[in-house]
Amino acid sequence: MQLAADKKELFSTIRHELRTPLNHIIGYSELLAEEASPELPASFHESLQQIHHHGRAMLGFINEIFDENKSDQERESSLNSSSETGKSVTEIVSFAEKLKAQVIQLNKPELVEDIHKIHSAALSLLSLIEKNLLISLSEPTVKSRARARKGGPSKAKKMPDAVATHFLGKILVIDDDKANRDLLARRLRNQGHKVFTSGSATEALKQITPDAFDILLVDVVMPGLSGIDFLMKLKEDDELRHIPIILISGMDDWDVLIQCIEQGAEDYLTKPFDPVLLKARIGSCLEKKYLRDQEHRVMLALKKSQERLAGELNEAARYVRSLLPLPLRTGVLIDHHLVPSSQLGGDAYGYHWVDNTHLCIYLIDICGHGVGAALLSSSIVNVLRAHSLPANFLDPAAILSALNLSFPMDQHNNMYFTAWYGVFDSRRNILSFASGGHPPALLVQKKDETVVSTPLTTRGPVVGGFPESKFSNSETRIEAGDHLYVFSDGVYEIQRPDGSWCKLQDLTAFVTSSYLEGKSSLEPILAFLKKERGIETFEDDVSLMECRFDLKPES
Amino acid sequence: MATILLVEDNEMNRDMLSRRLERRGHKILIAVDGEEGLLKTEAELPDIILMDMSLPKIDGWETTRRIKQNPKTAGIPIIALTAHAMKSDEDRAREAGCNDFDTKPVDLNRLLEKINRQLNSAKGEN
Repeated sequence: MQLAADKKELFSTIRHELRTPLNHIIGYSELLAEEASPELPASFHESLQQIHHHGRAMLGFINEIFDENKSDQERESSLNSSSETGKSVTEIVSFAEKLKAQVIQLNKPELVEDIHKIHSAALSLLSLIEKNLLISLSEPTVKSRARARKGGPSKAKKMPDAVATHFLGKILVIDDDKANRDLLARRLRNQGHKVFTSGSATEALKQITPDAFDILLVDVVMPGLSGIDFLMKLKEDDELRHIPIILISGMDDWDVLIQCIEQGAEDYLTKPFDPVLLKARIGSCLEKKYLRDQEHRVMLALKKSQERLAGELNEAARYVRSLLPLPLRTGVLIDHHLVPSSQLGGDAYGYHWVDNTHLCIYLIDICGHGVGAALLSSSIVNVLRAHSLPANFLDPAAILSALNLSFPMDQHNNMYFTAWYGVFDSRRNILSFASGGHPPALLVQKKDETVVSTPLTTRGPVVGGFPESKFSNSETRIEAGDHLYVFSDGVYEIQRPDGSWCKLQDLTAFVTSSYLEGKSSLEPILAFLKKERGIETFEDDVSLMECRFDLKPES
Repeated sequence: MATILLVEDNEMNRDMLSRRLERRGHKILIAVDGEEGLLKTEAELPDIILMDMSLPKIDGWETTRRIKQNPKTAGIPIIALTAHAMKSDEDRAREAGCNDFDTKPVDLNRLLEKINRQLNSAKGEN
């Protein structure tokens, strides 16, 4: 009941507010028609008639809509059936503008004032419609506004409820015509935006900073720097090009508007403004900008954290690289190459003389790559380098067993690994070795003028998988000139560009064919791998050691 | 032709109506609020009064009531002008003592008819 009474009162007030300027429009158009001399051109009288006609139509519309005895349903149906009427007021504005121009041209200054009254009445009607008609039809708003009016000067008036739900922003209006500028600014302020104005594009350029405004509303036709010049200047500036620009133009500048959109304008509006369209365009433009800004902020934060992570990864990668041994040149010649698949790989290897006669050579491959794998492979290599395992470092199977017990997968983030461990006895020229889940090493030898490759493997299980795993040793005799290749499966498990896979046999065949006594084949082998892969990067870590036994004949 | 007192606070409404009525040969007196309306009515004794009802200071209903209470001015016909097109507004205006009622925006021919009718019936009474 209270609501109904509130509404009645509100509607009566709104009707009165809206009818006042309408009375002026209708009255002055009639007055002018009576007073104007018949010598004035027919188009003058026609425009007046149009104004009168639209004024009457609008009056009928307002009486319909704000008839307090009508039900909401009836009201709604009249609203829907008279969608044309909203246009009436903008029509009046444009006819009044046309008339004004005409009487100035005809040199009839006595008529200008009255036409101006019609014009300004139509403008104030427009802003009233915006304020009342559009906003007050939603039920809760009706109630609060009726209350606000009752209680004297209302705060609600300044910021209508409906406005609070749409996007508000900082808007710069650039127009050389002060009246247009002020009108637009006032309307936008009524909608809750913060509005700034500028009378020329050149002046505006001085005010614009990357964050100063959310939207620039720019008149196309301006003396000096035109709207299009301004648009192009702004789009050339990397700092400012993100600020959305809405261009304003008269109806007939259609081609210019298309050009503007092509040049990067966000949208356009034609004069006279349709208040609904103005609100919708500004709203959607602001919404888009806020989403873009938000996206931009998130991107910046992401980029920052990405950079920080990348910095940390780089540092880790430098450390992992520092763990790789220098090429060995004492007794046995060892060269090696590592291509991690990502910044940090899961492969690690090393070699060192355990005592004067024994050289150990080892390579491990953690399942997976990345930071976790690199951490585990680094600790394993450090353990081997420092001999900090409860086992004999000259006994490969014992070392793998000790690693198996020291690095169980359930304590290492479910990571297990494969390993190849060999010990070369330089006095006896015997290489003993053990492998766990790892591809065989290749021993390349020249026998009776033919080169043969022998796979060295003991077929042990993966390391760290099961505590009960057993590892065994095997050994082979090394001759002067023999080459030994120890590598991870990433070296031969390469997918070619055509989708087929390179296999261990392919690698073995190439390694065998590229053997040259006393010369390293490392470079040709790497070139072969890259050729097989077709691109510079590999799916898995690629690590390869080449040991050349340049033995002096036993004396 | 008659002397018409127009009591209207809105400048544009005043301007429009007075200009249009003057073109028809009437003499127009202006009052911008109820208080001035009362003073001018008593001082000038116009032939007819056009009274806007929503006026500052003293509103149109109260002004009408006082004019009708004053024996010197009670015979002057008053036409109420209001933007409210409701029947209740008309009833209220007649209750206050208005002789006729019209709504804004003014349809000049209709208003002229009403003015003439009032002027004629006022003459008849005299």
